[in-house]
Amino acid sequence: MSLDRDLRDALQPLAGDPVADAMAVLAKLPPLPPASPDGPVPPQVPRLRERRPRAPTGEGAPRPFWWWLVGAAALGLACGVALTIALGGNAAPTPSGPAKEDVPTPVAPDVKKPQPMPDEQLDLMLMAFGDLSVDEPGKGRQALKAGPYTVLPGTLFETGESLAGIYIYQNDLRVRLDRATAAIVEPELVTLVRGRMWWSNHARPAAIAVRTDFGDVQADAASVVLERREGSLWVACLEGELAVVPGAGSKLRLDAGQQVELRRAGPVTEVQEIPFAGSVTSWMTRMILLQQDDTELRYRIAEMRDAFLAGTHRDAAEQELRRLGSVIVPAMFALCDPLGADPELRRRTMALLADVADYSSVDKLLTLLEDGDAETRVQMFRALRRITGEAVGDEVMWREGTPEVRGAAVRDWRARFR
Amino acid sequence: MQQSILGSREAFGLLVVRYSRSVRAVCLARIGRRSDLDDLVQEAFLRAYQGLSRLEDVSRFGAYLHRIAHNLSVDCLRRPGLEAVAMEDVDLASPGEPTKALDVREERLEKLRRQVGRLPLALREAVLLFYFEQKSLGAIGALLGITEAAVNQRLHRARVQLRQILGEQEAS
Repeated sequence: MSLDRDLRDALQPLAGDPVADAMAVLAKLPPLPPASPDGPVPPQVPRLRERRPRAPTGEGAPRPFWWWLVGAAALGLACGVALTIALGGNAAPTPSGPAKEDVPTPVAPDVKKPQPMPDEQLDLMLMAFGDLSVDEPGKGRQALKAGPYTVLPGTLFETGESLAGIYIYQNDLRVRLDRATAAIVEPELVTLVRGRMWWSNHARPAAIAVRTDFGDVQADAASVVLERREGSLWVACLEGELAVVPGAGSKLRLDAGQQVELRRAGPVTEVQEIPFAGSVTSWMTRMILLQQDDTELRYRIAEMRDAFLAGTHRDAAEQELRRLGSVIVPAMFALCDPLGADPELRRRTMALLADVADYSSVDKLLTLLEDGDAETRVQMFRALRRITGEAVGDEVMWREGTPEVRGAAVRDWRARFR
Repeated sequence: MQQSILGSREAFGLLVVRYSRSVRAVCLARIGRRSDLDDLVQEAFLRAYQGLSRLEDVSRFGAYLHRIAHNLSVDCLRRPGLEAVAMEDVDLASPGEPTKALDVREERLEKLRRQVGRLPLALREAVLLFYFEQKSLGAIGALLGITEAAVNQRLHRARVQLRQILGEQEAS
């Protein structure tokens, strides 16, 4: 038996989920201040713990002797350097020696470092959500780590275990590639070699085509999901309209909410309605969360919340809402009162809210501790205990306690967080 | 990285994706598989974010982040009220389910996790970094502040120890 392989298999489950970590960290970051016209604003984060001063810092405090000694040495050093420069001597660079804690360098010479965003409008801006491989025209194959990059048009992307987002400034085209996908991306043509992709040029119409060995898909303004399946190509139009041009057969037109499958053996399937668009794009949820695009995130939450309320695809919508995590709490919390007429739906909503809540949702959970429904109160109590590691009262108290007792407990809990 | 220095949350999220495994390896090597491991990993990133504006050389972000993770783990072990965990014996095994019958391979993997947790800290850290991230020896060396040869030696010693222990156990 191979010890290396066994070690990898044994330890990998402990490695955690980097994307889940990122989502949790982003949820805890404070909102950024508005952009300043004078330049970039450094991150403003409240200090977790104030650093204790190591020496007297008051204005009137006497300076210790060593302070004067260090000052004199610094002055002497500065004078020496100035004299050397004035005499025109080429001061030899000070050997700094190898840094003790260098940054982990790329694993191989062909690994590319993240680059700042480009001025070149023709370049593709890539957001790698993990390790992936690109084959760039004229530069060859490169292994990329998570991060933003610019790459040349015509690059082949192979996502492997990672997700990838690509943006083309020139025509405002957005492309997302799922795991295990390979595609060559150019500004007006994407060649899908394998896997699943989404593209949208709905915001700024421009002629785009996606080419596969089953045929082409063309659209001027649409949001589309394509998937290469075993022996077929599946096309789903989410917004706008598009044309499907099969390798053999006549051209088809798809409107928003319609899907079709082009098969290698046999005719193209009939155009059908997409039962629930949320399930078609669920693989993109993590990208939407990580990209922190407020507009898209809000739209996504609203879409899933509405589907959850409508009830036709409630289970699928709930699954998507759970995937979105704690960012849904404000939207779901706002439903508490309107849902009063449907106790069963309200209960399900509260259970969902309690499951996905995290530290950022504590205030809402505390409010719901005063809810009139005993089951809701108990759920919120459990959620708060899970999140904070503390408990005020117990389940019996939150279920059966008098309003006075519960009110005092809520005040106590609030005081702890203040 | 420059992007997150300038305050882009999105770019910082990607830094978390990139470094999460190695930070987890550093914490796991010291505190083991405890319930607050996730919190510790997240706090390391939050503190790194907090200090980004003071980081003069952005290319040293990785080393800076791992130093934070290391210090947090050490602090965590010193926290009063918590059961002290011996540095030389951390718990990497999953919570035991004695009634559940494990197949042979799963049993071996569980045994391996337990034995990795009993390796000396230096060896355990090298093993976790190597097998989590599939990092090159040079990259691990840079992270730990040791040479590539030293990393190789630590991995070799770890494998020898593990083989011996597993061999003895299987023989007995």
